[in-house]
Amino acid sequence: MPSASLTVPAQLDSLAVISEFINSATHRAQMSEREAWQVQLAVDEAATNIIQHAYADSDTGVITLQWLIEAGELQITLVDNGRPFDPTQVPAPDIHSPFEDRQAGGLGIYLMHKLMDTVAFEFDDTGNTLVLCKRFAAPNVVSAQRFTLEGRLDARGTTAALAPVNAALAAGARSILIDLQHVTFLSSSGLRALLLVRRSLNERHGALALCGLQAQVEEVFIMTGFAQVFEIFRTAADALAHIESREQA
Amino acid sequence: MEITHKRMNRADLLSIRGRLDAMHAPALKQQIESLFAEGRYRIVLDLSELEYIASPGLRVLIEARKKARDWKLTDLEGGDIRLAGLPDRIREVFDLTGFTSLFEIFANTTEAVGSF
Repeated sequence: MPSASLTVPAQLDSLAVISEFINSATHRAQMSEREAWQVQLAVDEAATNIIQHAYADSDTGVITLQWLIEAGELQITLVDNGRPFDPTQVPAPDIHSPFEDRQAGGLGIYLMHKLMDTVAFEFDDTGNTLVLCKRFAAPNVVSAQRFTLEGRLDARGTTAALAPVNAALAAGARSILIDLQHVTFLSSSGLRALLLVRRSLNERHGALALCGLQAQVEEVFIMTGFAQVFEIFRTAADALAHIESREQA
Repeated sequence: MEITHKRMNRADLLSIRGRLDAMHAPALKQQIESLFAEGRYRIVLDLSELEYIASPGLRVLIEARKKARDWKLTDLEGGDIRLAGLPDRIREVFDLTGFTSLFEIFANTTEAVGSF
């Protein structure tokens, strides 16, 4: 269950930081661009309410946010110590009333309800807790792509050997298995290229696994300390099992 | 958020770029009110470069339009806030909140300014 938390001063200039924080959650959940925007707006409205209402009389309060991804749902919790303010009790504006009768307030809470699947509020002596949940369409589970490299991964051969892997990365691959059983030699150029693959996948929260290392290749990994950097498995089946467990985490 | 102002005979044009959230809504309100203070009640807001709007921004729009329309030249003519060039995401917020029917919305600034 991926999760993270953040505590910021209850001031309007924290909204940008909160937006970044929520961005990391929607990115991690691989939400669509539209779903991500809906969550952004709902949390922005919730945080604005806390700053402007719960802490209306205070400049020193803080908001603690937490996100949690579980079973196709992103749950965001906002906790503050301001005065009790229950946004779920604010009457919804009549969005069909004509311009002359239209009230300017209440829209933020209305939007929160519209954009999220559930909005729940509770408070006790320690403060207010608001929990917003959004279910999201499961991202297309792309099973790991497997590449079997051949020959010498040295200054000469590495670029060509890794071309299919890099093409898959450019196309957005998230999980890659590189089978080295037919690789007879590995130099620093080859290592560097593998490190770049690993870095790209880490940036998108993906996974890289290596398998089938010949003895002389494995020795290079051990000597350089990279054996502890890469996920290395004896067989392709072990490597795939590892990638699968990572995807479910 | 960034606001640029262009004065024309028919109307004042304010182009708003970036994020119109609780942090930035007061700056737009202030800019519109300074136009009112000069007796300029016909305003076009160019939203084509607006990336994001939250309820404090919507609130500024509705309150400003109410004030603009309080200024009347004749029974038929008067002040107004009209909008131009809504990006898809902004239009989606307008649709969700019923704002689409509250404002006169034009495809571009030429049509919006020309409507006055």
